Amino acid sequence: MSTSMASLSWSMARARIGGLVAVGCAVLGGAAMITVSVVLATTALSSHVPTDRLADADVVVSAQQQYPVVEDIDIPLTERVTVPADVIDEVARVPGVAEVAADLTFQVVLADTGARIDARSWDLAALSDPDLQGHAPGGSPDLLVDAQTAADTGLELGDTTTLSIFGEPRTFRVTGIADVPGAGVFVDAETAATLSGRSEGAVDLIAMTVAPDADPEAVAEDVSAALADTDLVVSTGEARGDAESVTGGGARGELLALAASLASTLTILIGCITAGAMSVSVANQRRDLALLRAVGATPRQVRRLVATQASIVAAVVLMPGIALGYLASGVFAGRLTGAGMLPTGIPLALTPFAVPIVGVLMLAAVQVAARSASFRASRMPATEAVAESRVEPRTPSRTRTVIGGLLIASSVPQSILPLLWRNETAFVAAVTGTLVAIIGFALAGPVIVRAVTGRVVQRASAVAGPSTWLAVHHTRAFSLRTAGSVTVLALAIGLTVAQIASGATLTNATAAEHDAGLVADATVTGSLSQADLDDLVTEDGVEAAVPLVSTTVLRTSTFAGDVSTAPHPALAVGHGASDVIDPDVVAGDLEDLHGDTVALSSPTSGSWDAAVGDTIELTLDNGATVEPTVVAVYERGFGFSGVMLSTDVLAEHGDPRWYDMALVAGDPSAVATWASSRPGVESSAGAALSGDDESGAEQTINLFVLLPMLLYILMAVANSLAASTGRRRHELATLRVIGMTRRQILSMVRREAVITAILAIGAGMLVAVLPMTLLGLGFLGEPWPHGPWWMVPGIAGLIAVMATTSTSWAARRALRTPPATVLAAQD
Amino acid sequence: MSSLLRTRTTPHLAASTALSLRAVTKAYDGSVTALDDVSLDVPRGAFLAVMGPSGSGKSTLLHCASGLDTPSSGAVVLGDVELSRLSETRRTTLRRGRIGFIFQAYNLVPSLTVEQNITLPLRLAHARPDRAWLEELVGRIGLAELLQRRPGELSGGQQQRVAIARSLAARPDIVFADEPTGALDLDTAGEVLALLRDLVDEFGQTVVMVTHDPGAAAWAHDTVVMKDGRIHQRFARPTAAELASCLTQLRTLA
Ligand SMILES: Nc1ncnc2c1ncn2[C@@H]1O[C@H](COP(=O)(O)OP(=O)(O)OP(=O)(O)O)[C@@H](O)[C@H]1O
Ligand SMILES: [Mg+2]
Repeated sequence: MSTSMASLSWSMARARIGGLVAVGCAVLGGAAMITVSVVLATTALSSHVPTDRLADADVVVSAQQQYPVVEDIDIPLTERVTVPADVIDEVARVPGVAEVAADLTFQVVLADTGARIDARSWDLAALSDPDLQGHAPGGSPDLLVDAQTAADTGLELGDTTTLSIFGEPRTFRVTGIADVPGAGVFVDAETAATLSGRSEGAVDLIAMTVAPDADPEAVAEDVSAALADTDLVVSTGEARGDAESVTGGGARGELLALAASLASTLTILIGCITAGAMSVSVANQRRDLALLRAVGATPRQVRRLVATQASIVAAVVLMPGIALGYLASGVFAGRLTGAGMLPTGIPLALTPFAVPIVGVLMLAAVQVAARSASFRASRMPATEAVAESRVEPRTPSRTRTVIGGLLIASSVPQSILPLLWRNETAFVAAVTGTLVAIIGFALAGPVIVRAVTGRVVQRASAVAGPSTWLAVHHTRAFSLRTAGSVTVLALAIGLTVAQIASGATLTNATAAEHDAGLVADATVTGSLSQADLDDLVTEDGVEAAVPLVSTTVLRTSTFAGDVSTAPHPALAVGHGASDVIDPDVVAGDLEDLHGDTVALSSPTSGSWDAAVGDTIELTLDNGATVEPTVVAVYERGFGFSGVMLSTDVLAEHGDPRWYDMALVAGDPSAVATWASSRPGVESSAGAALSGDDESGAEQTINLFVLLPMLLYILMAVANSLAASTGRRRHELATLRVIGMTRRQILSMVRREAVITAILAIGAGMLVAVLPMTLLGLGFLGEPWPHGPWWMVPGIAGLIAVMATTSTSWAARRALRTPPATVLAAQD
Repeated sequence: MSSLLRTRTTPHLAASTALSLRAVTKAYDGSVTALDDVSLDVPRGAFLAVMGPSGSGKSTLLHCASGLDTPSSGAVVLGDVELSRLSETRRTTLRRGRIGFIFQAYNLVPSLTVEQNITLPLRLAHARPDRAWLEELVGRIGLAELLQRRPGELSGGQQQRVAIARSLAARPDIVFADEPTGALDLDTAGEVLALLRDLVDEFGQTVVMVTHDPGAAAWAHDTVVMKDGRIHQRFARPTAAELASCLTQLRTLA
């Protein structure tokens, strides 16, 4: 039975290949895109950053570098979470452990050049017993330099050199040079502990070798057992690489988040496109299906036939699609590495995993799409089936129209939100409003199309030539068919415009707030310690020198009984912030931002329900929990983040740090003079915030994700348009028999495509341009969608060209068969 | 088997020829010869029936004669124009002005109203509709009440009437009908045939009609019977019984 069903579906399909080509393309592109996200996800889950410095350690103990989140992906912490010192003794007691080395890295600046390099405790490198010139560092002022750094700096055995330890100069003597992995300078463990400023001797991680006769895995289990009451992580083998590199683990978390968000977008997109292609395919076979019903096929059999057909097509294109996906992931990974989202050393997990996952997902999608697309056709009474198959214009159901109208209406308040609130919530609402409106349009589309074209029909019948008249007429009469194409085209337009314009609006809003809120007279960049800045302020004519650090804080909130934790970008600023920035304070005072304090943007303050004087609980990027008091609320939350911490909070709960930049109030020339005496420090007049590169990289990634999706949609629409034009062979033949010339028919079909494109552009503009205009008005006071000028005309032109070419191509093909033959075939 | 039969002129009209096929051959894919050296004259004002077993080439004859398709060799002359020499576009424009075609399956445009369907050929030709003629036609065919309906809302007989009205809207020289009653019941078929005959008698319309039904052919003046792509026999004013026995004979021959 099932073989005969398969062969029957195949022979029916061959005759109506156009619609199935669309299904095939939808599955092909879908499979490729899902493969990419599966590869990214498996890479994030299974690939490890290669070990470097830890290569000779058998077992490694490190702290949990992720903030655990219930029922969601853990949030990676981008600063080293430390391991308490007493663990060293604890693990040393575990049987089978041979040597134990604590690793500790901090940063120092070479006084001569201003270059910042890593300084490490020698213990870990000593584990691998490297070849040495000179001897291992015994204690201050002994310094061991690795061969690479020695070559770079010109340091030789016996030289003395001055290192700045967070602003404090200290002289060392080079007593050893060694070729060890992990560039930098090395001091003995005790000196490292003192100089790093680490509280209570905490270390980065603990590395162990095991006794020659011991099994590292077994020892690791014993170590885990010994540490059972802590949440420390014990790793062996490849997993050690993740313990070694903080950013590697973090980037993997980001990668997983990207894969997850891709997966959810793709599910919706591929679902829509496959369903659309499927309904075109079913419409193309409507008459065949009706005849099957008439000769006694049950509705289930009809649906099964359609589903089998689609599954055969899906099965054929699945492997090529997955192969394409593997290729594309390589390209995509290259982009991600370029944007710093993927660690350079990490290998892509091109596992065969993707095959079953993508296979099951796509086949399930096709089966569901096929069965629901054929639902109506399969359930009609057999007689009606034959009748309706000839009379295509159908009236869309009222419920459908009403639901669509409600959705469109509900998107209006969403897009007005940016006028009321200037925050991320409003921003997200405006973007989702676009999508909601498009879905609404998909449902109410037929009635809207009918209403709009109704007017035109009346005008056109008086003045237009026959081709135009017929074109308008068909568009209206087949409003369901038209609305289908219009919706998908509008989706493409809406999605692109919303994506580009919202990104540009955010960038512009940030830039505008920087323009208005950066009131400093000069900016210094380089490796700056608090001591350096304190020194700068003592210069004549300099009033304030305030360091700025971008960081992330985690906030756990309870909403309706659900506990959720989310990361928020934050800015840490030093004392005297009010002299260099003006975030437009509306409550409290920025002068008070020192000690255990925080300032919040007004939307953040609102959504966290925290006013001036309240104490809020936050988690810092190194996992420390802090409870700062809110001292100010400000308006410019785009330029200055939603959260502004005092640098005192970071200093209190973390290691001493180097700042990369500071804003200065005072005479720029005095600043320039000061900077010129310090190697590696630069000054410039005026205020500038770095960090815009990062959002640029993010936008590149967004574009890189958006482009294939847009291409996918366009391809799907082109296919659907071509297939539904192909379906009209009979209608076109009838017109030719009545006396319509080829040229008239082609021009009619082209005009129909133009009308479709115009409607789509209109709808796309309404659903995207309107909210984006309001977004521009609300966030920037400029009532137009932001982004490159060619965005709107470019997309509109692309859509129009694509719609007309694919339709004309299909019409030309349909015209190749003599009309008498088409009519004789009676399909 | 005479393939070159001269047409007898109809009694009440001058002997001018509306359509003339000269040694027309049509081969599909180079192998199937659907029409084999057919010559045929149809005088103005004649109502000619074409009969024959299935596959004998009746539809092909109609398609070639009406310019819907081109013969492989031979000439089709409509009045003073040799159709078979014209380009596809020229043939189309000529067809919509001077040739009407009626199908068994009506082939109306489902999205257009009856009125729009009827005037479509005129619209395509950018021709001003002759209001008086259209009104007369619609009244005569009995569609006056149905003008605003769509084809889907009509019975088969009504749809075929619309198709007939459409084929006549441009006042063509000749109307071809391929099994116009094939999909209709006996009574309705009778009405449609009577209508065609009336059009011939009242307006002097030339009609060529393919049919399987000897009873239908009896409404025509003359009948040609085809076999294997050739004209097997020509009857002048045959009775249904004569035709039926001829066809039975052909069937037993095969
Ligand atoms: N497009 C085509 N390609 C190939 N052969 C064709 C084509 N159209 C018709 N034929 C063949 O030409 C011959 C004549 O066909 P035609 O349709 O003219 O027959 P007919 O007399 O109209 O038959 P019926 O009474 O069944 O309609 C048949 O053998 C048919 O198979
Ligand atoms: Mg036939």
